Amino acid sequence: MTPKAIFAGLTLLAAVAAPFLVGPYAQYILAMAAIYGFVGLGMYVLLGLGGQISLGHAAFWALGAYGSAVLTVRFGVPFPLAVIGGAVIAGVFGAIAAMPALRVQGHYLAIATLGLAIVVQQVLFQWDSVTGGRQGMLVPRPSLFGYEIDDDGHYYLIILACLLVAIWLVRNFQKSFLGISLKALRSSPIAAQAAGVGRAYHLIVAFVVSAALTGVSGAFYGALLGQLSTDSFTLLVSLDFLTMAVIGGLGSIGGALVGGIFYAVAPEILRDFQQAQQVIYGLLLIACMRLLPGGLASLPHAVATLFSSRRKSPPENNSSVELEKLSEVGK
Amino acid sequence: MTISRRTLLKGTAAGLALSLPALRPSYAASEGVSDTEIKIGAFMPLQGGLAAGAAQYRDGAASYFQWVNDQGGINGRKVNWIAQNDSYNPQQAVAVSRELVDREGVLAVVSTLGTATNMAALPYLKRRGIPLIAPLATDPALNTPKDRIVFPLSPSGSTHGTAMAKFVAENLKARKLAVFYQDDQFGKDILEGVKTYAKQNGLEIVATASYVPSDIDVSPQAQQLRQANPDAVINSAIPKQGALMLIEAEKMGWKTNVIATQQLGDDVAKRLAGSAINGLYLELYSAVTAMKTPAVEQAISILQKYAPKTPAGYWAFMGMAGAKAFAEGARAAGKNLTRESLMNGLESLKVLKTGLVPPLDYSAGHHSGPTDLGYGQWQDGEVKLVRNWQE
Amino acid sequence: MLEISGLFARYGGITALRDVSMTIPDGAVVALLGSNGAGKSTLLNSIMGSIEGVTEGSIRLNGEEVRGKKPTDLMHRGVAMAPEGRQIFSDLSIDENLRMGAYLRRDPDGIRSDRDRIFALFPRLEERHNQRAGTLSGGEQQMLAIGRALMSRPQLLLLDEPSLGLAPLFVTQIMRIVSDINAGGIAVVLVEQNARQALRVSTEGYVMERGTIRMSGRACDLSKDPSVTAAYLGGN
Repeated sequence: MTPKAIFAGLTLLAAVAAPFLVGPYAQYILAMAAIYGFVGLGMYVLLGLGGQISLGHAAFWALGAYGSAVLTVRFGVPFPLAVIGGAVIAGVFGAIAAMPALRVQGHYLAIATLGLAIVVQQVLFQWDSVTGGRQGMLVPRPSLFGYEIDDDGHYYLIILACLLVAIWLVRNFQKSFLGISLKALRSSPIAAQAAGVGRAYHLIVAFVVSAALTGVSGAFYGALLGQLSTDSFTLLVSLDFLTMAVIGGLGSIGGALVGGIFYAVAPEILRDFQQAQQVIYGLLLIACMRLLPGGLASLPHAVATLFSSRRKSPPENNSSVELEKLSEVGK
Repeated sequence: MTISRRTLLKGTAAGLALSLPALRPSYAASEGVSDTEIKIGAFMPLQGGLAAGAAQYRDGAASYFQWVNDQGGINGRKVNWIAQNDSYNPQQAVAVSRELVDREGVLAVVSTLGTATNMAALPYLKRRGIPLIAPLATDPALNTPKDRIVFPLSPSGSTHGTAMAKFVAENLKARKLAVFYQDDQFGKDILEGVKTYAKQNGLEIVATASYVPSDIDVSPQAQQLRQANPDAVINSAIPKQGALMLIEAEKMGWKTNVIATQQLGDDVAKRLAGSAINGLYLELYSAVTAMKTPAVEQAISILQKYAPKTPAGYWAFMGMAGAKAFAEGARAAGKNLTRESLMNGLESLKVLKTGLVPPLDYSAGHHSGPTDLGYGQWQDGEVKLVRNWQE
Repeated sequence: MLEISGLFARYGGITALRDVSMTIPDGAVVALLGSNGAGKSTLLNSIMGSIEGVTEGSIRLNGEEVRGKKPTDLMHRGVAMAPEGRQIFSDLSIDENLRMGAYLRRDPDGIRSDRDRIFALFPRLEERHNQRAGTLSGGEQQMLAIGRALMSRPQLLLLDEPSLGLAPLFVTQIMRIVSDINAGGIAVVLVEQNARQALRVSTEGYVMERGTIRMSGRACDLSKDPSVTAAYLGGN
């Protein structure tokens, strides 16, 4: 066994054992971390592999949440199918969001996603016969084969199992020819297109995969909370997702998961700071971009290189490209 | 982090095996009660459009709990009431409820504010068996609840309608009624109450007119109601359109008896309607300072001591009424305070009189908000008491 | 192989190519010389179909008009380009970079044998085939860029400034490789600043100036021409 495999195994063991060792609130936070893990994977596919920035992932999240909730509440679709349904709906909108890629280059695509996010939120808000509008929408507890999952700890284990499947799929995706082409496109758009890689097609694929993963997250989220309101899917949430991805680390799947855990746990740690929370996120974001371009996931490596100045092997991931793009968006 | 396919499969199998023997809910044993403290909480829109009212509501409840604690607490325990903001976002109300119950481990949720937010939190609280005491909201599920955990504070929509119709029929001898209402569930429930009372007592509803909250002109509705020549108008609108209706009537020189809900009983309504507010009757489901009862005098003095900047009025009295209801129930529950004994304690009171809201019916198997309301009238820019509710 | 006549290229109101005509015979190495901004890269991009502006005139590949076609169409017809500035995929491994070069091919066996051939040409790449391309030195990256272009098994290879920013030792090496490639029957268009080295491996040469062809001829003649010597060969 390599040290990596041992580490992965131990992490998995801890993840599975965790709900049995803690109280209900921590179980709820665990479930949130796993739910954000899907968003992290989605951001990894889009931003980490594809180098594309989305300012509208809250919309895919909302579509997954509302889509699956409407399927269960109004059409009596069983929960597992509703989750898939939420992913499909979000994925379709992911394709729509990426359509401008056929025409525009660079950051215009990010701005188009912002537009989509605003439209989706408004439509969900106004369409109150389906979504409950301002009143919000009640979502029943998740159920599996007729059994209601009443306990957040059990629900967490189900989400975790699905997350593992998603990790496996994303791993295969990034190793596939499609994934390599996507990375090539990010690494050098000119050379990739010179090699015959279709930019629009690959970006649309990245958006669809990313949106669908985010949609799954939304579906799980709605059922965990039991209530949806459009106020909870604002631009701020999209930006939080972006922050989460950068802080976790864009270069690897591990980074995506660390980001999800961070986003679920940080509000609990920063509880006493109240209004200052957003400021702290902002500072962390800047700190990560300046000092730790690989995100929190690269922290062990960064520390290791710090202490062994002779070992100067480059990090496995290269996130500086995306970070440059991010900082350009800010300009 | 990278995970090989084999590790993944192994882990999943191990996870499933581990979870099998534990397929049962595992909730915290804590019910928020220690030897010295009772922990309870609430959600309310402390940020957003309703923030000013919510802050007064919070101050009302908080000052009462402080007063109780200074008197030695409830059966020797101090009350720790945690009021959290939900920004009037139902989803956030659920998140706050989870925090209160699972993280803080509160005994009960007490003195919440907001219909949509309370409705959103209700399924969760029900599932966890957490008493929801004194939610300020208007929905049958919260005013005349089927769930045992809910102990209402305010009257249902139809009670408002019935109470207003009853007053104009009995005190003003009105036989022909006109109703101005909001075109949604809130307004329709009130209209339903008026209709029910009219049917039972042989009154005639000669005209109805509705509005939506974004309306800025209600003159067509005023014309329509006037043409029916009613004996009395039931103006069940929210302050803005309610005041606009009063102004239209004054402009037309239309003098008639008008009764409104207590929403038109504060300074905001007075500012909106100006002189047109004089003569307006109000149904009262919360104390007004004009009630010189001992309960109201005590409430004013508590407020002056613990929250001197908070005006004594609707919001503060409502908040305090909920706090008082909880304190009475907890006291009746005795030394062994649990969620179950708290609900038993509240139900043992049968009729709970806070003096700040009309009597609440908490008898076992039948919880309901007030049904017999008080009445007041705007005179010279002040609300005068016409008739108090029966204690 | 390739026949260009009367080619104009414009973008953003600028005429970057003016009445350019040029012939690339089968199996030739054609050096394209000229100062910065003379239009050399624009000409390559026009051939490849990757220019952002509009073109006029004629580009015939083996008799077929290909002006205005997309890069993938050109690749299908056996043209490949190694763009200027070593546009390699720095996040991808060397293997993956080469695999991307064969993006349009669907013959795994052929791809594998071509990869082995390229590794034979560039032993440094084989040693490090699993490493991230971004960790390679400048010269190695240039070799990878050429290798990647070769992975599409072209008949005509367009090399845009392969020696840019390289140490003299590497420049010589790259030129030797150009000869090797050409020995395998592949025609090469070589855009170079280093005219002396370029003409040494070329069969013919064109000199561009402000979007037009200033001069053309056999490489050995050009390298002796006093005006070329003065302008591009450092007056030697």
